[in-house]
Amino acid sequence: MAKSYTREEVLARVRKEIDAGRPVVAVGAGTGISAKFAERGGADLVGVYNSGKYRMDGHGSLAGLMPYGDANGIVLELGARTVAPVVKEAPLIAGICGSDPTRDMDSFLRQLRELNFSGVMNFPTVGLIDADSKFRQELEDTGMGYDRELATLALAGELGFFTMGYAFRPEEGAMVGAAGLDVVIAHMGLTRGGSIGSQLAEGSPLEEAAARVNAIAAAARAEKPDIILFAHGGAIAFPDDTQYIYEHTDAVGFLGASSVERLPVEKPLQEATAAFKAKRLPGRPG
Amino acid sequence: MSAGALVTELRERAAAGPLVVVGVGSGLSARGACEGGADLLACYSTATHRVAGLPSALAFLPYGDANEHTLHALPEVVAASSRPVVAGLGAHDPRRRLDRLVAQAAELGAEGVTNEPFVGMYDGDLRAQIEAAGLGFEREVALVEAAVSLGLVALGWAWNAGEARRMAAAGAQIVGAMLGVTAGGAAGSEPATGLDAGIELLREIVEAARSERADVLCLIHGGPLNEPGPVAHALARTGAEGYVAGSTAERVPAIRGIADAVRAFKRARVPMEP
Repeated sequence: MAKSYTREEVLARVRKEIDAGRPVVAVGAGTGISAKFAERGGADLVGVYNSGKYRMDGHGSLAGLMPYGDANGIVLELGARTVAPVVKEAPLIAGICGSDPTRDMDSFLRQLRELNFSGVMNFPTVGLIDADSKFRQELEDTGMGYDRELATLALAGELGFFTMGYAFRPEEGAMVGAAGLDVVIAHMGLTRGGSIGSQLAEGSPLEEAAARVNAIAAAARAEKPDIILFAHGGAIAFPDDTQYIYEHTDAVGFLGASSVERLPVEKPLQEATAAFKAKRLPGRPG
Repeated sequence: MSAGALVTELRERAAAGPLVVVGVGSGLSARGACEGGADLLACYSTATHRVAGLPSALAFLPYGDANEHTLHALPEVVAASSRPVVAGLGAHDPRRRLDRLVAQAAELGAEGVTNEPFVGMYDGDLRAQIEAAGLGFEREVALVEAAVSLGLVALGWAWNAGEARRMAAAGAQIVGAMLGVTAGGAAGSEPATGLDAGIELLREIVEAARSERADVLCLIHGGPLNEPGPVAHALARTGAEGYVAGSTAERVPAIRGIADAVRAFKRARVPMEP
C-alpha cells in the first residue's frame, strides 16, 4: 500500500535525487501494472488521473478533457482500488480537476489525503484549451478557469500536500510561481507517437520545446525563485528527448505518461499475439 | 409519430408562426414549455446542468458522462411532455456505438436526436486534436445519419455554412444555426457576437442548408438571441422557421419565477393583534 508523506518529506525525496544528478521521473499510471513496474523502474512519483485510465483503455489521452466521465470521481476510484494497493514507496500524486464547481474542494482534498495521496497536480486542466479561444475565455469568465485550478492547488499546499502545476505559457508559469507551488511542469501539449498519440505534435522540434520550457521557467522563477522545473509532452516523448531538455533547460525532471505506459506496451502486445498467430497447424493445406 | 409525419406537422405549424423548440433538463421544465405552446422539446446535458443550477459549460468539461446525463433525464422529460422530444447526444465519445446510442434514446421515448454537446464549442488546437483523433464533427454527421436510417428526426446543429451543408446532406430534416452560448443572466456569459454580425452568420448558415436541400427546416439559437425582440428580428432577417430556446426559456424564467414567489411570501406580514 502506498505510503502517505508530508509536503516536506516529498520535497526531501525529490531534492535528494536532483542533488545526486538523477532526474526526477514522475510517472502517470492508469493501471496497477503500470504503477507497479514504473516503481520498480525507479519512478520517483506516481501520478493518478483520468487520462491514464482512458489511455490504458485504448483511447486518446485527450478523453480526460472531454465530458465522458467524472474526472475527480475517477481519480478517487483509480487511486483507492487500482494504484495505491500496488505502490510501496513512491509518493502518489492525484491529478485533480480543481475547477469542478460540483465539489467542495476542501473536503475532496481531505478524501485524497485519506487515500494516501501525498501530492496533487492540475490534470485535467483548462490549460489544454487554447488561451485565446472563445471556449477558454468563457470558462475563465464564468469561474471555471485556470486561476481556479491554481487556487485549489494552493489550498492543497496549505493542507500539507506536495503540489505541481502544469503551465502551458509563460503567463501561466508566472501564476504557478505566484501560487507558491513546489513544481512547475512546462507542458508542451499532447505527446507525439504511437497508435493514438497526437499527430499534431509530430515534427515540433526539441529546440523549440526547450525554448518554451525556458520561457515558462523564467516566468515562474520571477515569482518563486526556488521552484522546481519539470517538463512534459509534445516532442519530449523518449529518453533521449529528455536528455536534450535537461541539457538545454533548467528542467530537473520529466513527467512521463504516454511515454512510460502506453508507447512501451503497444508494440509488444501486438507482437505477442502475432507470434502465437504465426504458428501453423500441421497437416492442413495453406 | 413517424419522422415524416412529425416533419410535416412542424412545417404546418411553421406556416402559422415561428416554431419554438425548447431545450429542457427536467420534467418540470418540459411541462412548462408544453403549456406555453412549445412545438418540439430537446433534452440534453447542458440543460440538465442548467436545471441543477450549474453552468451549461459543464456539459463540455470532464465532470460527467454527457450521454448518461441525457439518457437519465429523458424518461422524465418524455413523461411530462405533450409534444415530441429529441435527445441531445454526444457523438464524440469513442466508447459509444452511435447506432446503439440513438436506439437507446429512441427506446426511452425520443422521437429524434440532436448533436448536443457538439465539438463546435471547442476551437483552436484542442479542436484540431479532437478532429485528428477522429472524434470531431464527422462523428456528429454520422450520428445524424444513424438517426435518419433508424427512421428518426434529426436536428443537426451547424456553426458555419460548411457544417450546415454537411448536416443537410446527411439527411437532417432540421438544421440548427448556432451562435454559441446564450448571453446574460446568472451563470450566462457575455455575448461573443453582436446582433448584426450574429444575424449575418445565421443567414449564411440557413442559406447553405437550404442550398443543399430546399425543404430543410431551419432554427436559430444562441449568442445575443436572448429576448423575444432580437429573436423576432433575427427570424425575419434570416428566413429561419423557428428559434430554439435554452437558458432563455428555462434557466432565466425559473430563477426569476421562484425568486418572485419567495419574495411575495416574504412580503406577507402577520397582522397585529388589536
